[in-house]
Amino acid sequence: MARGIRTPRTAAPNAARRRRRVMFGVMFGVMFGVMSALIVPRAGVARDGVARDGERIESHADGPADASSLHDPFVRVITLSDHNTRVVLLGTMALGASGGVIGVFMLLRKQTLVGDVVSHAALPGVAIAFLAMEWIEPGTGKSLPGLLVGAALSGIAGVLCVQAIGRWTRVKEDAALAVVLSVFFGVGIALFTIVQRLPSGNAAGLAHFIYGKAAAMKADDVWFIGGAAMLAVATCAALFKEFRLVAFDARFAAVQGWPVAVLDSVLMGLVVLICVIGLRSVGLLLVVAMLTVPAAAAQCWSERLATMGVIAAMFGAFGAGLGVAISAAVPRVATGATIVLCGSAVFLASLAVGTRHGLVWRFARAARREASSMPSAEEGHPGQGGP
Amino acid sequence: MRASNGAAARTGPDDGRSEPSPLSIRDLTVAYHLKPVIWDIDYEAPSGRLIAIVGPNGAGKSTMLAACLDLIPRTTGEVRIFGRPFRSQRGRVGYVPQRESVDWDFPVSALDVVAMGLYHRIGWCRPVTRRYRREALAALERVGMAEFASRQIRQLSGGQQQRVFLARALAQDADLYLMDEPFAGVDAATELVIVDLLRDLRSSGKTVLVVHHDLQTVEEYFDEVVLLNMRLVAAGPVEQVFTPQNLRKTYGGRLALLDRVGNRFTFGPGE
Repeated sequence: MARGIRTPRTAAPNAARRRRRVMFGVMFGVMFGVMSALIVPRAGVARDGVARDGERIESHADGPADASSLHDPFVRVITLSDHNTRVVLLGTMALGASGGVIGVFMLLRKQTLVGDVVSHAALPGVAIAFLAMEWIEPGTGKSLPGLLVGAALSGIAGVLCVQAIGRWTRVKEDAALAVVLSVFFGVGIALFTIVQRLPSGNAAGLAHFIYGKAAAMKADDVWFIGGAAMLAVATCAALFKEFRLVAFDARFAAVQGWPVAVLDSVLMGLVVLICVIGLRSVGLLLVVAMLTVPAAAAQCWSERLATMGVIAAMFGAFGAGLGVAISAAVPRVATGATIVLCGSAVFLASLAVGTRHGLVWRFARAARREASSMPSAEEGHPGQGGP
Repeated sequence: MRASNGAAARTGPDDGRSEPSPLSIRDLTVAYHLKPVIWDIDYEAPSGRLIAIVGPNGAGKSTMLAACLDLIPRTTGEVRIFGRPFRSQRGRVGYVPQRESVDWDFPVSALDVVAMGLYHRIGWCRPVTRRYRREALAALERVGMAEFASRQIRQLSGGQQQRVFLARALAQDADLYLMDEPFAGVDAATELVIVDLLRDLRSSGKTVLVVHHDLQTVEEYFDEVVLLNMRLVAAGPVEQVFTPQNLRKTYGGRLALLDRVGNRFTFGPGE
């Protein structure tokens, strides 16, 4: 932050800084390696393939170069020969990156669980939107924009309920979060059983909203998700200073005349946006992980908010990309779960070797201290051997 | 936001040489859930003085500051800052909250925190440019913390953190400062720095209200004192108001402390 001003860095041991750089390098090297293995199409493998859902996307007249490898699903993912996989990969990576950035601010504002409320509260909205659209014009219930608008509206309603309970009753905030989350989710499940009984409801695939199915993403969805992710990240970048102030010291921000409630609402709106676009790909049960896991992992690496945001975006994109790749290669694995598991792996690695309170470093330091407090054997002379 | 800055306000209609009091409070009552916390406060702060707000725990000292700064709703009453509502005078008021009110594990450096005092001048969506960072660094220098500018705030001691908060208020270049317990839990070096700073502010004509806990140092550090225990017990120059009788009225039954202070009054040097 203090770029441009030469401020003496007191007591920032060079060794620690070097170690930080090295660890950054290793971590991002690993991530970059894995991602480039996924993204860069391998030379010599024909680029035509059959999309997973059976629809033929592109084909070359030359014919398949190596039929056996084409049918190996893992190779198909690695080489990104599926148009569909590429689309899904891009979409979820954009989602992961933006989720990471928003998540950092949520984490610092101590509002991470609000994301959980939004996603769970979105469920009744999906069901109601489906029922409403079917009622108005049968057969249109599956229209994704309509369902997402429903999800967004009821997600916002959930957040407003939490705020109303906090404001006008004596129920504490954590209880309010839990109550609203379960009530909305319960209503959503109840409505879903009604939807399932409808003749058109079964085919609608609404269950994908719960567990997520990234493979169902289409090129149009990716444009939509990419646009929303860009919007979210751009808003965060523009309001970086304001969000930081409100997250650090809301009282001071209020005294200075910043509209704290408005800024909080903007942040909440971004959370709703991420949750809604994440509903389809990772599912409402796990979309909160897109907001929290990369942010929590980034916290292990940096003491600068801007750096934290960049790292969280990278972690989010990486976890999402790897998760999609694995779930595309291994049949019948829910995408949402895989994405979260990959993100969790990054999180655990960060906890262990993160440059800021990494567990490994802490143990190493403790061990070194113990070693140095003892009379060290290495200092002995060669001719130390017994009398 | 920027229009409400000092310069614009000073050329207001009710200007003139006799500027209104930096802080005037009339009939101020604040209640939480129908239970009054402060009751019917009337106070007019003299200009250019160091003023201590003293009272037992739960007397409503912080509440009074919060009510003056529109942080909590006032049940009744009116607060004027230099003769106008606080809303139009934000640029002229510097606020130092209690140190415990924020999370010091937050990923910002000392310089970042101080720069927050300049945000209202920087304006919406603009980055903190080099010019403002330099100003923030100058404010840090005034509290003797320039060498810690790039430190993450968790790595600072309690006293250093308090100084960072003071620097943030200094960066605002306000005319009235409201400080909530700046002396709480600080080391001796920081206490000296703060006292020097307060005198510095006074000599440049600023008015400073400080919520203060340590009765021993009131006479030494401050010109004026406000004794508060839900109601305003007494207010005025230290030598007139800071008496055992008034303290007894303020602190009620807590006699152990009072007798000590009382003794100092009766038998202390200078009596």
